[in-house]
Amino acid sequence: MRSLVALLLPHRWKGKLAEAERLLRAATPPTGLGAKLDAWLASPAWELRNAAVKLIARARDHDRYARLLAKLGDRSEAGIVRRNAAEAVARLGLRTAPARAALVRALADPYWEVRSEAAMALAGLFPPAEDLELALLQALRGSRAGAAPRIREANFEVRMACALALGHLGLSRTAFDALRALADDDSWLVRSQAAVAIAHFVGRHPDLFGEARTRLEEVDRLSEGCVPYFIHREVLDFVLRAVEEGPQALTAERLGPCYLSPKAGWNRVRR
Amino acid sequence: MLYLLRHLEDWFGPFRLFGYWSFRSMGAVVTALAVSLLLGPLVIRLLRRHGARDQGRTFGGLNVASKEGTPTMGGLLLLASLFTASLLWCDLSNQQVRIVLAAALYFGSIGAFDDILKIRHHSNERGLARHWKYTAQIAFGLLVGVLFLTAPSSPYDHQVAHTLVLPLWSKGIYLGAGYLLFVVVFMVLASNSVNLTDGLDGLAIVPAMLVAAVLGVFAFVVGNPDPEMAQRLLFRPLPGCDELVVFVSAFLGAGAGFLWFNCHPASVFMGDTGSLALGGILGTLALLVKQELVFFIAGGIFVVEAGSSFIQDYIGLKLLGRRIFFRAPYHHSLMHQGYGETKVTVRFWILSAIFAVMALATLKVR
Repeated sequence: MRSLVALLLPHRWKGKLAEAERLLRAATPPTGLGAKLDAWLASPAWELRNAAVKLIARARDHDRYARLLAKLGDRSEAGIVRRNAAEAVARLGLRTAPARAALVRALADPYWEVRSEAAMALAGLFPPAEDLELALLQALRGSRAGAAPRIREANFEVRMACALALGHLGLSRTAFDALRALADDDSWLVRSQAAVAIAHFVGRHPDLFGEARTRLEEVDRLSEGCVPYFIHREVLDFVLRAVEEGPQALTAERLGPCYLSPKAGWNRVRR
Repeated sequence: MLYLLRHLEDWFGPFRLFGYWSFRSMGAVVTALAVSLLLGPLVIRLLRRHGARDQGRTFGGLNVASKEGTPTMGGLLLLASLFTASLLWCDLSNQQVRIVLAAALYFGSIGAFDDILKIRHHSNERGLARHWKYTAQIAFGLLVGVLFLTAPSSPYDHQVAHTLVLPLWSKGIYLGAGYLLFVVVFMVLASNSVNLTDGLDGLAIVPAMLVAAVLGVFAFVVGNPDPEMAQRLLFRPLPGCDELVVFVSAFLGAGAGFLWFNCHPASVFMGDTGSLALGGILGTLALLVKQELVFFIAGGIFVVEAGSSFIQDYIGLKLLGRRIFFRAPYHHSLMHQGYGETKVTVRFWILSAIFAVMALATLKVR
């Protein structure tokens, strides 16, 4: 209802939003925003609350970190505000116990972007720990924690984020098995992420190296996505970068790889 | 203009061919295609030289930077070939043809103005403001609606002009003056839906060609000089609509010619000049052949794209403060999920063909 009112009466908050966006774009972090941030965090317009959350991170406003965590945990808050609160926690590098607990709770958030952001934030902020691994595994299994290690998370973004997080935070055989299951995912994006995560995990657990190697060799290489690139642009960018460095950079060793072989065919060139 | 040569039939017998829409349709396709192919490299070079380059965009993290700098406003090429072929081969005394040409020019101009602003400001966000775009589209809708509904200018009689023909139904709904409001809303929806679909190489032009082809078939049926053809299929005959078949042929030729340069990786983008013009043309064609709702069946892809954008922007982001789709319009969502550009484009073409067949089925299933 509050959002509907805000939607119908945009003149009440559009000016403030423009001001908040100006502050976010400013070259130097804003200071002395205290009362303004409090008012914006209580605004009926989610866009303004969202800007306030971003400003807390931009201004590194220590006094309002607790409110940031409250926004992250408030399920009645707009999904994008919760997502940005999780991202702000990661940007601020909040390695505190309340932040850790809030991010773990956010792994069960009903909105997929929050779950995904929380998993990535945990991976970036905290060292491997059993409870974090368990929370990630539960996020992947959905509500059926403790059941067979089957992936029930329907959203590929969250599966990708969990794979990344397990690569960073995984400790046990169960985490390895979950990554093996993710390496069988229908989405090539998840398979790809899981392959990296398996390699990362095995770096810390050399005892599983042989098994990981076999598994990685079995990962389905089929991909429905490819990113074509323009060889001409790559070559031009490379040459211009070298020219920027001055005549001494324009050596045969440096420029040699740029030459295309008339015989080999341009489309065999690898970036 | 070549249509006039039929009057010289007595002097040179083969000139009678210019009186047949079938001959002129073939001529229109070939002319539009040839003009596109011949002018294409020149237009692209001119656009590049004058700085008409695509500005970098971000679609929620999707990387489209590799396309930055590709010449845009290729809609000019599309319109140039369409106008050349239409002016040569269509009967310009036909009111329907004049209306649809006016629509192409009007919507193309709005799009060109938008593109020029974006290029001048080096930003895709700083084109023509949304409310001005809507105002211009509404103005055209009102103008066409009034032309349609008032006796001296309307190509159809009062009852036909005020009736909305329903697909799968032999009877229409008489909307009275309410039809004017319908026309306005329909024109805004039609032009914007094509505009939203234009996001990947070749994505908008092929579905637009298929929709035009479907409307061309309807124009042939309802405008056939033999009114029995329309009546057999339970349509009201619409005299003069058969000439739109020649225009649609020119459109198909121009579209194929543009696709030659726009296929992945594109040498030129149509820009808003092309996408708004396409939407305006298709919307006006649907109004002229009285198949407004068939447009939504044949242009199912446009409905999906515009619908996903509307749901994401207005219900998801504005009202609920969350995304409903990964990204919008829907083709960006598919790309976000890992599908390659050509895969998304070709699958959308296939879906468009299915929608076109479904729309054609409504000719008989009534």
